Amino acid sequence: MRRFWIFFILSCALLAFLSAVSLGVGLREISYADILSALFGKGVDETLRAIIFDIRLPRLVAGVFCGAMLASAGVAMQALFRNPLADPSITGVSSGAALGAALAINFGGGAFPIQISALVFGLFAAFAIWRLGRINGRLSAFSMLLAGIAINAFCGALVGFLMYSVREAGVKGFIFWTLGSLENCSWRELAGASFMGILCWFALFFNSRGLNMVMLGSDHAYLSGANVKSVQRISICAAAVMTACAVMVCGIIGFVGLVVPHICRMLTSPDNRSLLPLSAVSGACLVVFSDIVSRLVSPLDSVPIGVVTALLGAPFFLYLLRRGGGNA
Amino acid sequence: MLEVENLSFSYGSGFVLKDVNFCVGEGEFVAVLGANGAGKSTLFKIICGLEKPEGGIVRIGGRPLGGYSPSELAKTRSALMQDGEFNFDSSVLDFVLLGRYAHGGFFASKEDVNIAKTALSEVGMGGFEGRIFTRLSGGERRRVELARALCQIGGCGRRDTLLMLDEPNSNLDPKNSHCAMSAAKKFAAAKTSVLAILHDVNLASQYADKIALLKCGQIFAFGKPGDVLTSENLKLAYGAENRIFEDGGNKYAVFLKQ
Repeated sequence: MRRFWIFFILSCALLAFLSAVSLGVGLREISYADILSALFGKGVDETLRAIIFDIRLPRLVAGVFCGAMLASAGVAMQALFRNPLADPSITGVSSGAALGAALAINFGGGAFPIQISALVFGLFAAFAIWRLGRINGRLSAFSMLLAGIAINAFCGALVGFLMYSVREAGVKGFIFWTLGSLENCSWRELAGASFMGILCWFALFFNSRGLNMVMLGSDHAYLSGANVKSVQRISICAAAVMTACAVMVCGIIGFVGLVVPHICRMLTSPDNRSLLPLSAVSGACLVVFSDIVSRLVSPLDSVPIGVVTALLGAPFFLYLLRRGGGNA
Repeated sequence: MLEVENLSFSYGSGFVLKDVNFCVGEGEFVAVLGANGAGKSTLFKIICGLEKPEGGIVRIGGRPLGGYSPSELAKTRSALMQDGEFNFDSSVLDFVLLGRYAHGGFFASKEDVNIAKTALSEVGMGGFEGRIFTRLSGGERRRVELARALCQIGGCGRRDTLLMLDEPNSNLDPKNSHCAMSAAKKFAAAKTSVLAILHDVNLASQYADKIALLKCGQIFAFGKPGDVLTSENLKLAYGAENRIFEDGGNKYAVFLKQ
């Protein structure tokens, strides 16, 4: 637990620092004194206030939210599939949600229908993984993972097809739904998604002891007294809703759900009770940092955030993997 | 403590278990022996609640297995299965503490930690608490898995509990096999009932109070080791020529080259 608290406090401090940097980065230079004045409601001009409250702050909150959701969903999926390679984007939940959004765009839906459609399809993808992963009435982690990979490929292909067939969305829409972006995040989009996402995070957290047991394997978990079916249902539903909520806000950001739980597990332990909060804060750090980098590299039209998370996360992940001897 | 009545089970057309009957009394150590495919592991899974029998009933503490919730059952019976599937880098202590799931709150209590440490000492793994489970040798892992099973029903055994072991000595050298069996025997001395599936006839002879010989899904000999372990019975059970020796009141079997 001591290691957990050290890394948790360090992650929180890093997130606070990155948040401050994120608020200061943008096309228009704004001093930190002005940012603080705007945040605390002291007299600054309306344009500055609008930039802070309507553009930069929602973008920061969206980054924190999506990072926390994706990393936590990754923790749940890796435990559930008993495979350190499972993450929301590999197991098809992200692609399912993106497909839902793409379909809603195709039918000319507004922001709300797009979000609902993303949520429904994300859950549907999770349900499909759940059903296809059952062999002789028992859930097989390996079959679920394979089913997830197939669903991911299928949904990804459909998203590509739909995006290219819609003129207005076109390539830009395709990039958003496959590589993610924090541009154009609004408080309205965030409100619904964050309510559901945070609710599911707590459901997952209170289920984390059961999730630890599932890591032993279904039979071993049952013999130790865990209600395996209930743990699996709660975890897969919570992970799917959290992923769909993140996808609604920022499209698919890959790698966060894979690399962050891995890194946190290497730094502390595989105990999901500590891994979930640490991964949530660390995931938020990775996404906020990636967003800062994407804006600094290309201030006018920021680089898709999924590109940055992968470029930053992969080398660091490989370094830790080599240092840790390749263990989970 | 454990009653198995008319138990039957089949996969498809052929039966795996047919009319199996036996009891394990309080503090009794019963070993189940039999050739590969005799139905030992299926019997183990049914008694654990992992498979449903086609006929018959299993009672633990006088209650049918179906009358227990998973958590209640876990507090009453603990089981060590053949193959562990855990592949995360947990510390040995954290891994053993998973055995306290049915007892504990959200975080492990001091009592849970003490029970886990006692269980580790029982299997000769004291001092390994901080080591990483996946980096242990096969034999060390097996002993830690046994410690988790012991930890589930308390650090030193108690009445009204059942300890079930499926080949507890797999991957263990002779010394550690005895260490594992001694730990189980100590639990039996503290009134925990023990049911162990074993391949080693001589270990069963030394530690079990009773032996059940299983052949083709049926128990054809059940009783004290001295009565059950005869050359004829072992030939019937395993289909192999053998010689029985006696030393210090225990019978030992040597199976001859075919």
